[in-house]
Amino acid sequence: MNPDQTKKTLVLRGVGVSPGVAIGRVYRFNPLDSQVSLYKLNSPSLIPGEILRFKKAVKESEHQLLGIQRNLKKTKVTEPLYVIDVHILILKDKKFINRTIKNIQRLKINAEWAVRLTLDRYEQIFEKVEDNYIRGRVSDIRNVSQRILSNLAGKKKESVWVNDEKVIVVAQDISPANTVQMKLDKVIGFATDAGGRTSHTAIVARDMELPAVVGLDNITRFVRTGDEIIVDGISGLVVVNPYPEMSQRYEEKKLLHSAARDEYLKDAKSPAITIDRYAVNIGCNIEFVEEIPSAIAHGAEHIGLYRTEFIYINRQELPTEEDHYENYRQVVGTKDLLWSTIRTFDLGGDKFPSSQKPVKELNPQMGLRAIRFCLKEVEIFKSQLRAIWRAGAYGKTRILFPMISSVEEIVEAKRLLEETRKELMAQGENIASEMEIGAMIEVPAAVVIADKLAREVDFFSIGTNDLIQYSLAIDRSNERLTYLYEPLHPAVLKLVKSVVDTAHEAGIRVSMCGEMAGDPMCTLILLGMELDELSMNHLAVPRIKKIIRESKLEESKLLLEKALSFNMASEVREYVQNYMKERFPVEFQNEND
Amino acid sequence: MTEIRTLKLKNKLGMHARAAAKFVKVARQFKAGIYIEHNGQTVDGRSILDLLTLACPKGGVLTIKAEGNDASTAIEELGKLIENKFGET
Repeated sequence: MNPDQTKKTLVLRGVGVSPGVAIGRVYRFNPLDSQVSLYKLNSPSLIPGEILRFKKAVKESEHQLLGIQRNLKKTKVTEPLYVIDVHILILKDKKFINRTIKNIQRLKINAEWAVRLTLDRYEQIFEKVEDNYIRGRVSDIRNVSQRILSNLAGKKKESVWVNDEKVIVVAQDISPANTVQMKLDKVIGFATDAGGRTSHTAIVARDMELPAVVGLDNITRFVRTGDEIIVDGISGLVVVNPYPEMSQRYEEKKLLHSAARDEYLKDAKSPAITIDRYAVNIGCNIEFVEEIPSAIAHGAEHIGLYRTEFIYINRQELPTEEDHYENYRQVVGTKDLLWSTIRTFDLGGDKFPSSQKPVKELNPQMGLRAIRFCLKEVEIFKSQLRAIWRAGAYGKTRILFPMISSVEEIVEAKRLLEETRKELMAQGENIASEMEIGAMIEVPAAVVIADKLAREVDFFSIGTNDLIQYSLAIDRSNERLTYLYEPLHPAVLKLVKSVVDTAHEAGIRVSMCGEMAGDPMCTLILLGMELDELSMNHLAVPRIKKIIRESKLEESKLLLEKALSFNMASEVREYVQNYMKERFPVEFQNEND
Repeated sequence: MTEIRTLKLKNKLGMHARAAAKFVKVARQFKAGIYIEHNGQTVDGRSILDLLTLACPKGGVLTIKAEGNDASTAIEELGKLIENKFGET
């Protein structure tokens, strides 16, 4: 049954970023490397043929790039279309072409070698350029050369995509441009060396509902195209060359997972109301407008967090008000959604709009980012606010300010919001008649002054990822500390509970949009705190809703009380885990084998 | 016919990839030979790789030379492109 029996089974641990199990064969996707053979031509008579091969490969490459450009235009993703323009112009660059042809003629070498030499030459030239940005452009030349090389190699390289077998893509990392190069309908899973929950691979995988594990460090060193592999996106494991019993077990797991999913989807649209009639409004976190249909299909009732950073990234210039508006307009007013919460951009720190000169900060997570950055770069901020007001005319919109740590910040943000409203009114623009204003509670200071912040806003949204990072003093990007990251830490529970209680005393609503909101293990705990809204990744929605429907508010309060009585995080985790597994055996059966 | 014009780059990033792409696209519409000089280095205005290696920053001064029948229109159009900051906002 397993032709790879003689090979060693290898288990690699990474981060599961899109749940599900995929079992299949590896396709090693490696845009930058190819096994080209470089050789001297046996006779000068072969030179014209070699030049012709090169020219054909260039033509073919141009053809492909034009195709990619067309496809990208169709998808309306804010892709760097101009990058492809640049690549096409490099292909057509006389200097580039002549240099390569001369290499073939003078050195009597094959086209592959000649292209390599041209690339080497440009690497040397660009290395001397002082400007960082320009020096980096050598990557465009590398990319183009690579394309020519793979076209020179002909059909050999494409064979995996041509035959009908579905494959699991293994790569160092996958960029937006790479996904266009793949035949995505042949892909059943992803495993990459690099990346985290928000990497492009993760986003694509979740969008396509394909299992994915990222952050595997060096899987590309261990696998080859054709190897048998299992990607377990639930536990973040990848098994290379599994032995037969293991394959079988995973086949079962895979069946269970998809059966469970179908089961969930059936009831996904039923509201999340407990047996004793406590209702929690469930929303989705999105980053792209393309995610809305699957959010609704999975039972989201609102968009609880629309991250807007992507509008800034991957482009040369700052987005205009129209760019923002075009995106928001597609979110706001979607039928079946009660409202959309747009979070103003969280840039700065380690993410910058491409037009902004990145400042190296020693500690970007605590740097000049999010609302701090917005209040410094007022004009950038205001063009976003204007677009939100305008989109708000088409459906209920809430605005959410990230990383609030003081009342001053929220007051200033509100002042700018009001200023833009007046400007738009004066211009006679069609804008929202009202807008609910929210503060992200993700800095411990905001928890402490939540009563004061509550007087300024209409709702809170708890961002647990940062709140946990800041309160437990854990750098989330430091892999050596992941064992300390614990949402069920007594300190975290107390902080969250205090935010909810304070908000309710002040009569405002509280939402949670961090990862904790979509973690079924925490659902009853959060229910016990009486959060009004939970917003999460769309895949988590059906399961969380089902757990809520089968629970009682009363029991969740008892569980919370018990959890809060422990001194140690490990005790809380153990108790809650046992409770949940016993209480919802079907929901948690997949996770503990 | 030879036309020469000296201009200052005003767009944010100088002669970056997108600007260079636009420049080359326009330059290719003309028959005239187009050469760009910056800091004593002269390159082919039809070659994106040449233009990039100039690494002309914002505020950098470029001299465009066009040689051929349509040299004056070429200079006009290329000058406009630079004046309009390559269409960047």
